[in-house]
Amino acid sequence: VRPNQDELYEDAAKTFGPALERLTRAYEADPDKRQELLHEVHIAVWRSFKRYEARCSVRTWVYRVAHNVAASHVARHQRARSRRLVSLEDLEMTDPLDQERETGDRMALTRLLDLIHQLKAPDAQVMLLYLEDLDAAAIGEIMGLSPGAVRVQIHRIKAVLKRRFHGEPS
Amino acid sequence: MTPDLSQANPQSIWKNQPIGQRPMTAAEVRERARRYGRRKRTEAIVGIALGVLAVAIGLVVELFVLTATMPRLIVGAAIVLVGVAIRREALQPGLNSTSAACLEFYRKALELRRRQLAISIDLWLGMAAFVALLIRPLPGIPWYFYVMLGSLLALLFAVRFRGARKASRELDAVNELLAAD
Repeated sequence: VRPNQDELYEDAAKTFGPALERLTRAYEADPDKRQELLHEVHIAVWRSFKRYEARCSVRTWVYRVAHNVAASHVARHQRARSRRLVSLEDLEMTDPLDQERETGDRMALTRLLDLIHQLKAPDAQVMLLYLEDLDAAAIGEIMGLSPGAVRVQIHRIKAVLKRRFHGEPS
Repeated sequence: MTPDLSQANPQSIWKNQPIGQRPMTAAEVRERARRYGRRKRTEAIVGIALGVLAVAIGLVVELFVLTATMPRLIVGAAIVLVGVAIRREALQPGLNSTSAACLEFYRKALELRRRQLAISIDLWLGMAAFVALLIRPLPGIPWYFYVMLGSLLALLFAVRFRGARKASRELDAVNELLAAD
């Protein structure tokens, strides 16, 4: 017997709840709007399970719905954001030496979030899925890319992170 | 003191950040979905109704009450702005719970944005024609009014054209990524 919409949602909320919260933190800096986005993501995931036919894993399904909701949220509020969105290529070009040095996990997290907030949706999505420790095949299934293409993206993400965190040249 | 981030592991930092929410039950999320739907519907209906009412009142004032040129121009401009706001409210997309692959979803959103920006250029042309029709019979419109109107329209077109081109470029980049795959 296939689990129903409510059962699927409750399992998913338990398993992916923390990941969904981290995801909204990456997409929305304002705490009130972030809370609203998190609720929207949960509502969308719950609604989507009505159509779930197990053609892909629950994980892929949840991440796809959540990222799509969050990307729509960013597009809707883009005018309110003062920051210009850039691509991974732009970040690869920037010089990390002039950046202020920070310390501790909190500062590192702030730096990480700052980096993600600058990225355009597809680049941010691959980076977030990489940070969630998903492998290239899983990221590819969520994004609609081949594992090979994802591996190239991950390689570039790692280079950017290395430069940002360790100040090493790419 | 210079902080040392050389040992920082971005993945573990990311996954170990403090999380505040407890998982919602299905009953809670169902209730939230109901409240969310009702709030969004009410906001849309109230927004559109107020806008239509404002336009109707504006038109009555414009056509039957005001006689001086400048106040009529100001009311005319206000009607146009409210019209644009109503259209924006009516086009506001609802909560999307699609499970499409993220890149394909993003490509479709960009395509829609590009198309909407192109359509909005036609809309502004229509609005300009509407303003021109309203003010044509008015006496004493200075020549610089037409210059200002023309400049404003040119600016609006430029902003929208730039937006459409930006969306187009982004779309090309996504298509390239999908094609190379």
